[in-house]
Amino acid sequence: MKRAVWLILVATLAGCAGEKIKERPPRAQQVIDLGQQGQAAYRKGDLPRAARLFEQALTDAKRIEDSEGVAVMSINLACVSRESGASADALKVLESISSWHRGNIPARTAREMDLLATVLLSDLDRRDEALARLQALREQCQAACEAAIGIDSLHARLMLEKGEAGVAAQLATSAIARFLSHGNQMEVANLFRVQGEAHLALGDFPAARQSLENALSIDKSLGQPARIAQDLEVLARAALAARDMAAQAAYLARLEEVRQARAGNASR
Amino acid sequence: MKPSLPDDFAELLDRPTVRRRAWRFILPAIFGLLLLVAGVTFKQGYFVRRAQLDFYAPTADGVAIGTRIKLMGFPIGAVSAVHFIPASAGQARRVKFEARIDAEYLAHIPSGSRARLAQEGVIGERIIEILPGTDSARPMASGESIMLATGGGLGDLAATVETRVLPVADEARALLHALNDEQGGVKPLIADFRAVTGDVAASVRQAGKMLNRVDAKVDRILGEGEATMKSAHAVADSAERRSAELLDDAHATLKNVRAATADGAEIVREIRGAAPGLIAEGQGVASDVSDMARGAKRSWLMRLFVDEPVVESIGVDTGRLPPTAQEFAK
Repeated sequence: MKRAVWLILVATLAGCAGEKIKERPPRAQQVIDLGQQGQAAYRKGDLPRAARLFEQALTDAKRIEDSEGVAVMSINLACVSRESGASADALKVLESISSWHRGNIPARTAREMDLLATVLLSDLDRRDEALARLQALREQCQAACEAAIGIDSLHARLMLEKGEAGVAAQLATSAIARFLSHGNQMEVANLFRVQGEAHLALGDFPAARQSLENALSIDKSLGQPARIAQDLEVLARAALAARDMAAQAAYLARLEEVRQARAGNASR
Repeated sequence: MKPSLPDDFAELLDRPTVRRRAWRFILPAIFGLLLLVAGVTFKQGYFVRRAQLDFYAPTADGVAIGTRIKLMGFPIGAVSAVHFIPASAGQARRVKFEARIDAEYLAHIPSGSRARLAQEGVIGERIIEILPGTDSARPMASGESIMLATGGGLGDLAATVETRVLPVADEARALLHALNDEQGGVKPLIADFRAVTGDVAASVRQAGKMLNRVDAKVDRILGEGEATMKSAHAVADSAERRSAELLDDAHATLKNVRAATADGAEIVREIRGAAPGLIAEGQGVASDVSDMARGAKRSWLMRLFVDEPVVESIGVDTGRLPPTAQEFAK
């Protein structure tokens, strides 16, 4: 009993000495609220609404000179624009952040922004620029840096797109070994997809199918319809290359079903 | 037979000193009891002057004996009885609620005031809220009556909207779809008709001009006009045949939409009366919940479990840009 009383007393004192929750001014809270609403819309696949909310949050963040808010909402808005197929617009959003705000962004957010800008450059077929930026990013990023998996994944993809499938497969395999158990699963799926495509380009069809099935399994667990469709499409190509027509037909039928469901969802 | 005390105990009680000592205990106890009774009756409002107000409503939903009555947020009384009033000449069946209210508040309830059934928060109890009329009117007297609107709370409103307003949107969507259908809808018929009427108008205009100039050509032009009109009739006939079924559908849909819209308008009218209150109520609840959450989060124990909200990004996906759903569909 005496011990319990002491424990409660110690816990109370520790709690009182703990850090107080920061009370935010209403406008700063508004940025967070709009950002959270935008994320909810994005998760539901409502990209136009997500874009509107992020844009509004970005304006509010600029109004109160909240540099972190400006950076994060720009990243979110750029991600939504990219998914809507407007990578050039997305890049413009990132490039429009003023140098004053850039100087006040936390290092982690700044790295995320740079990585996204590099991804957008690769979308726009500006691969050499993207590779140069990626190199600079890798130099900034230490071994345990949170952007490391994204950097590796993008690097492998850029090498594959440059026609260096062997290098791409090697980069992807080593990154998968490093990040499989604890890395961002969306990026792990990207790595498997790149690995699969690299194996396909190298003519190793069974390895390609294995990697792509891994990517598909992760994408299914994450509920990413666009990525699932992408995996099925590459799997169909791999089956065709292996002259396994039955498997190709099965992948294409699954792809068609996903495609129709996505098209139906988009028109709703 | 009267029970008898033991002789020595009876003798002891008979002693004056013992009796006096006993009373010293009994009197304060009686006094305390009386004080307690007085306190309870005062608290229960037995010393407050009461007045009666009657509320009439189409239904007794949500109201029961004991339902509290509030005026501008002050509790001023409660429902004391509920009566069913049968239909009479010109009057539908109604429910009468008798309420005992604090008489001093009568002065603040002008005649012509109305009342509505409200809810204290989303999960709070139902209350009757008096909505005072114009201040220039005379104050109400005991025994007078007030009309009570028993429009439900937010939950009822949501259910009403779901069951009665949403079908309107569905019907309208179906009609629009039929009207916009490029293949077999009304659009091509209208397009055909426009084209034909356009021909007729042009022919008639042309005929007018020619009539002024060349009489000889009149017959031929009129013949052309007649032919064009015939073609218009033919198209109209064909349109009528083709569209009979479709128009029947459209007509039925329109009728439904009209009926549903009338319902919708009625609902909106009903809701409009209650809406400001409901909105205020909703805002109040939201504000209360937000305050509670904020307060709770500040307490040290909760701080250990609740994450502080932060500005977060949705995360960069470095994968190759997948085709959008629209691109895929193409």
